[in-house]
Order: sequence, then C-alpha cells, then structure tokens
Amino acid sequence: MSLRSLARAWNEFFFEPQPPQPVAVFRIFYGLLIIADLVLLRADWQTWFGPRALVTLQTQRVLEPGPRINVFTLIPQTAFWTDAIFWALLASALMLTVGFLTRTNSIATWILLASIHQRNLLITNSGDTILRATGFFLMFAPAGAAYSIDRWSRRKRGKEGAEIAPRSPWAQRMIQIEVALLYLMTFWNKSLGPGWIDGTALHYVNHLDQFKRFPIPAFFYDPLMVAVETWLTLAVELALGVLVWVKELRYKVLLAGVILHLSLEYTMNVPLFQWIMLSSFVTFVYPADFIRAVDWLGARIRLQLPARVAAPSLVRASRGA
Amino acid sequence: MRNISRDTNRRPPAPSRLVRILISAFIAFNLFAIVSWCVPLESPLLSACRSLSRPYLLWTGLFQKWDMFAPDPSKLNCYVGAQIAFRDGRTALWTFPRMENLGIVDKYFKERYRKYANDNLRLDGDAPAWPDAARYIARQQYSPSNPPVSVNLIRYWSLVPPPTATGAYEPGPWEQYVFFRYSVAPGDLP
Repeated sequence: MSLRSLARAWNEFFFEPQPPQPVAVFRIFYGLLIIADLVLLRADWQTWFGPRALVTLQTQRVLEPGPRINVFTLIPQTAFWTDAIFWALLASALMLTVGFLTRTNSIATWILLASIHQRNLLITNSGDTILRATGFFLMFAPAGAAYSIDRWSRRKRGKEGAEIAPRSPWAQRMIQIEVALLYLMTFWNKSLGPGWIDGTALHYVNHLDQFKRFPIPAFFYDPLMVAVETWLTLAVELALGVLVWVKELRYKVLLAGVILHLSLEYTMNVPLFQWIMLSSFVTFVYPADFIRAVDWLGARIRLQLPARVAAPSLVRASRGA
Repeated sequence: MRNISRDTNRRPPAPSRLVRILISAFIAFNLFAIVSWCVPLESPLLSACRSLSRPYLLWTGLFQKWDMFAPDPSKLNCYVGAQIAFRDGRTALWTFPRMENLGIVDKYFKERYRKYANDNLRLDGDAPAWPDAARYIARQQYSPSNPPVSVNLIRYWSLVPPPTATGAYEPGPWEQYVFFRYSVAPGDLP
C-alpha cells in the first residue's frame, strides 16, 4: 500500500460523487424525530429549561463548565423566551423536514438542539447525543438536493433538470462513521464488563423495572436464553460497528440491527432511541439500491391510484426516464 | 436502473483540490477528536489528545460516550423521592414520576424524569443540582396557608439479585437514605 493509493481511497470514499437521495431521506427522518422529541418534551418544557427549572442555568454551568453553544445564555431567563426557543426549534425542524431553506434550517435546528441539550445535560441520553452528532454533519450535507421544497423550487425556476445530480458524500460518510462508531464503542465498553462475557448482563437489564414496557415471554428469562440474548446483542453491535462496511454483508447486518432495535422498542422504554438508530440506517443504503427501491415503490403507488390521477404521473415519469 | 444524472451541464461543480484538502483536514480533526474522546482506554497520550480536543468537543456538543448498559448494566432498581415538612408540622412523601407506575403513553412522555432522577440526581457527583431539585419540589407542594419549610431528598433502591439456575427471581428489599436536607427560604416559593 502506498501513500498515493491511500489518498486515492480517501478521496474515493469521501469525495466520489454519490446520489444524495439517502441523505435527503435521512434529513426527513431527522426532522421528524426532532419534532417528535419536542412533542414529548412540551408538557415539561419549563420544568426542564425554564427560569425556575429542576436544573437552573447557573447550576448547569457549575455541573458542566466551559464555553458551549447554548442560546439560553444569550436570552433573558424568562418563561417567554424559554418558550420562544421551543417554537423556534419546532419551526426550523418543520422546515428542515420539508426541505425549505434546507441549509439554513439544518444550521438553526442544530444550534437550537445543541442548546437545549447543553441547557440541561442531566436529562440527555444517547439518542440526544447521536442526534446532535449526526445533525452536526447533516449541516454540511446536500440534504435539500432531493425530496425538498428547495429542489421543487429550483426545478420550477429552471435551475435544475429532472435528474438529481450526484454530490460529494463526505458529510454523509461522517454520519455513517458516527453511527458505526456508536455501535463499535458500545460493544467495546460492554466487552469490559464481566456480565456481558458470562452471559448474565441481560438478566439485570430485564429486571430493571424502570425500563420495562411490554411483557416478555417467560422463556426469555431462562438463564440459557438470557445468555444467548446477551451474546447476540454483543454480536449485532460489533457487526454494526465493523461488518456494516463490508459490501456483501451490509444489508444482512442492517437487518440484524433492525431486529435488535425493534425488539428493544418492544421490551424497553427508551423513547425515540430505537427510531433514531433505525433512521440512521438509511444513510447506509447504497444509492443505486435506494433509487431502485423508490422507483419500485413509485410504480406500486401509481398502480394503486385511479387512472385519472396516475396518468399524469406516468407521463412525467416517462419524460424523465 | 434510472440514469441518475444525465444533465451533467447542471451538475454542481466538484470541489477543487484546495477545498478537498480543507475538508479532509476538517474530517481528520473531527475523527481524531471524537475517537480519542470516546475510546474506552486510558493512557497519557490519550489524555493529552482529549485535553487538546476538549474545548472543541464541549463547545460544539460533539462530546460523546457510548456506554449504554456498559461495562455492566445497573443492578439496582431505584428512584428518587422527597419528604416535605410543612409549617403546621405535617409531613408528606413525594416522588418524581416512576416509569414502572405509568401507562405506556405516559412512559414515553415522562422518561426524562427517570433519566434526570435515577441516572443523575441521586449520584453524589451531581450534588450541585440538589438545591434546585429541593426548591422545585417545595414549589410543587406550595400552599399559601401552609407552605413547606424543609425538603429531604431520598434515594430508594432495591438490588437485582444474580440469576438463579432455574431463572426464578425474587427482588431484593427496598432501602432508603436521605441524601440531602434543605431548609426552604421564602424566596424559593412562588
């Protein structure tokens, strides 16, 4: 291996143009997840972030000192301004979801999201951390290049053609790396714990009442089953961190990840985390497969529509093909 | 498959060599900062790397640690509550919302209380947050005719015993400990 070949591989991985559709869909999922998060937080917004919150701004600064992106430090500490941040974040997340002024709103959403996290770090979880990290790189991605009002507007003004041009994917790659790193580091940290090695870790997790959601069938509590579940969890997390990069294995690994997260969604009350992780999987879908799937889905939908509705779509599709 | 880009005359220009170099430096720095921060190893070199990247990661919020249920899951069922004393001498017990007592929908909405109280507030490392919590609870229990005069924060916990050969499970007894005593001042109340 030479330095030249390394540089070529780096350039190919980060800069070889790729269709931006997967990262555009990730943008939609991301926006929807922020909106869902805000809906869940709404009733307790002042309790968490208000001037007389469970953790005041002054206390948060003592707990986690240092300069941080946090617009709460720039506004008056009043209930009105605390609410204003809620509505501003909701508005920017909505506009990001529909792809209106996408770049501007991805920046606004990220700054406001980082601010509410930094305002009260005692309530943040891993889902918040990955939203913040992926949102950071989403700001640099061509997230409005597809499925957006921005693209619709550009086409209407004749600035873009029917086809979506490939773009440099480095920001999407960073989102992928963040997600894979999460799984790899989780695996690594767990591998340091005796319970994950001797197969008893999930015994304790299964009996943490605060996390329970729906009932688990009794045979899942059998010690042998618990050991199998424990080791399978480790194996899937390792695969999502490492094997997801192997082309032939990617979809199998992602499928295992989907099963893992859906089973966790059933058994454990960790709101949004599973959906955040599942949404991130879309960035791993190969663009050609993604476009093929969208075409297939589009054809199925057109088949279901009445002829007078479907016909214009078919005409447009045949012109664009 | 559809030809995904035929109108190449409208393709955005590829980044120039200089831009690629600048972006590569940005990528490399972020990878260095993030990985050195979250890798579960300790060494003088890693400590130096973390010191270097710390201001950037804290400012941007890119700091991260991926240790869900690791290295070992908690072996405690726990919650945080309070004993409130009122001016007339009465006392009352209060708890933050407990997930195990909530319905499916409420669990979704109130999970942040679990994170706040069970994972953070009860720990000695978060002692600076205790007065705020006590004041909040006092305000929740406020009545002009009989205001609260003190709030004691209480940890409750029950051990999850190790697994048995048969899978039978008997939770440990609940224990409790007052970890913070707070005298309510008039300015704390509405």
